[in-house]
Amino acid sequence: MTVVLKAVGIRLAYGIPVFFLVTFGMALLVDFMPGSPAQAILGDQATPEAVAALNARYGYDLPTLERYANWLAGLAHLDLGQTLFTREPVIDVLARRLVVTAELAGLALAMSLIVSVPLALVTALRQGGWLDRVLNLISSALLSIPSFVSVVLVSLVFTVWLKAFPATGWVSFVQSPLDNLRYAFLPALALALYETAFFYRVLRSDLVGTLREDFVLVARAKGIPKWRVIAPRHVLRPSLTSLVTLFGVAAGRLLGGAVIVEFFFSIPGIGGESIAAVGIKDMNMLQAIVALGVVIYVVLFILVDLAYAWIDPRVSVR
Amino acid sequence: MTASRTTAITTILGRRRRVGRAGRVLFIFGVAWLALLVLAAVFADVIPGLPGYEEKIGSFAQGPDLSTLGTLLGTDGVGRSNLSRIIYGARVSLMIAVVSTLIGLLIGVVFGMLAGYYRGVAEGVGTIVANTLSALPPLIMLLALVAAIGTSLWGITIALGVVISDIYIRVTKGAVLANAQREYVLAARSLGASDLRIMLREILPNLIPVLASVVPITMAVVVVVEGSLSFLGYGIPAPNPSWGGMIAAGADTIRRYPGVIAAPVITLFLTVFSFNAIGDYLGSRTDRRTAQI
Repeated sequence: MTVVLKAVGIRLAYGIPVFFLVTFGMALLVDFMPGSPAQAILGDQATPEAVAALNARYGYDLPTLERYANWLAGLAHLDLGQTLFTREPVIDVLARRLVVTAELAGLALAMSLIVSVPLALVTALRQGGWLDRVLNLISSALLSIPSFVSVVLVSLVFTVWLKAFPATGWVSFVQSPLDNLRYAFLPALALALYETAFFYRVLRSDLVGTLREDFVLVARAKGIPKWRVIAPRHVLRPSLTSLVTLFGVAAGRLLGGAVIVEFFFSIPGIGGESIAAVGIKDMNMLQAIVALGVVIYVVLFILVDLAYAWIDPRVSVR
Repeated sequence: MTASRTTAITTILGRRRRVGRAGRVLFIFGVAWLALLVLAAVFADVIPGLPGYEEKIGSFAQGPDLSTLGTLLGTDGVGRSNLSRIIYGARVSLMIAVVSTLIGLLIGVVFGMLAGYYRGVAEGVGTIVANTLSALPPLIMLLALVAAIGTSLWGITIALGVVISDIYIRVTKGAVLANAQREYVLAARSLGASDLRIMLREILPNLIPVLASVVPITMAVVVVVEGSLSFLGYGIPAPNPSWGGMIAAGADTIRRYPGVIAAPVITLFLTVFSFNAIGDYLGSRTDRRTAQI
């Protein structure tokens, strides 16, 4: 246990300077806004009083370092300030949005794993077969489709042609679990396309490598059939390390806000919020979103590192 | 973040795959497509028969019509030539891709070289810089930048260059570490060469193959992020055409004219696919496994 704690501590020590650098960079960004920040936010028609009031409210009239120190002080008791126009606590809005984004990310990751793992197992066993070649082509094509193309295509097929799902919008799970899934399906699918291809390629190539190992030969020599060798014990588990890494990367990417997908399907998640915040120049909100992204990134990497030791006992947690 | 980072980078970039004939065919296809695109973009103004990107050449949302060059790929939602807008859009996309990759390369080589050669404090600084850049979600960071300083071609290009430089820092540092103890470096040092000379004249030329294999990958990333920004309406300001903007405009009218998005979607796909295919091929011919930090 203490070993694990120490390992987490060392990784946090790497992550903390990253957090400070990024959030300070965001605080610094405000100083580059043309005119004064409040002037840039309110536009040319704003009265000098309104500009001065807004500058004072967000401390934009203070030196950068002092403003950043205030932000950190607020952060210490989870106060990230207020949103620009609705004047809600940023942390409340963020929490609400994160629930939606997390659901979407979870669905997308689940879809990706359910599809990619069995397919990778099958094609690793039958390398060079027709399925292997077809999936190789499909997966490399999917990796070249940016999310702003896949959302358009997914919506073209499922809402315009098949009319099977609502085009945009969101219903929370508490209101109606069934409608929630109906609204979540297309965005999750659009997110999953890319991740599925990524997971599939990595897992397949790791499986192929593991199948060449001596212990697989031994297991086969003992008479264990091919399909059982590949089942969890022998081949799948040692092949998981890269997949776990990519899973961490993907989870970080999706939790940090799938900007395009949430924007396109009008979903009230972190990504949708960041677009709204850019539209009104809500720098406070943007700083909070970026800070959240960094925290998620650092936490996921700690989890991924710990997962290694669990998957492969030869890896010691350092 | 040592172990996972290492493995992440080696997994994504480093596995030395054997690329068979299919890989070589895709590589040649990718080079041909990009060459065509570059030529069209460079000579857009003097291609005979190519209408201007704002010129209305017919009714809206026409399908492909092979009779004139302008209508070859049909027209968009307001009757402008898709072909012309794609070619002029390629100018912006490819220019940003090239310039920001050069910026990323410059930052990456400087930090990575110092980190790999001097180790110690320089290595710590390089690690923190690379980790910081990796932790930044590129799109959200660019959106924050746009919110602060507005849409500017140079702002976006430089920011993209900074965002992608983390990969060059890691790759350079790993390759320098692998080279710093080699005999040729020792030989140069014993002849009295300065550190700067060793880094630039001895080690740097040996990094070129590895770095070159990363270039197409970051170019694909840049094209995608720039396209995303344009798609969201925060890219290069109108009236300049951009692929992302064309796809966004086509998506608005997709119920009535689903065909309008076909041309920009296919162009974008082929471009990203070409970059990836070239990157895969070059990657299979160099060893990027040393890209650790």
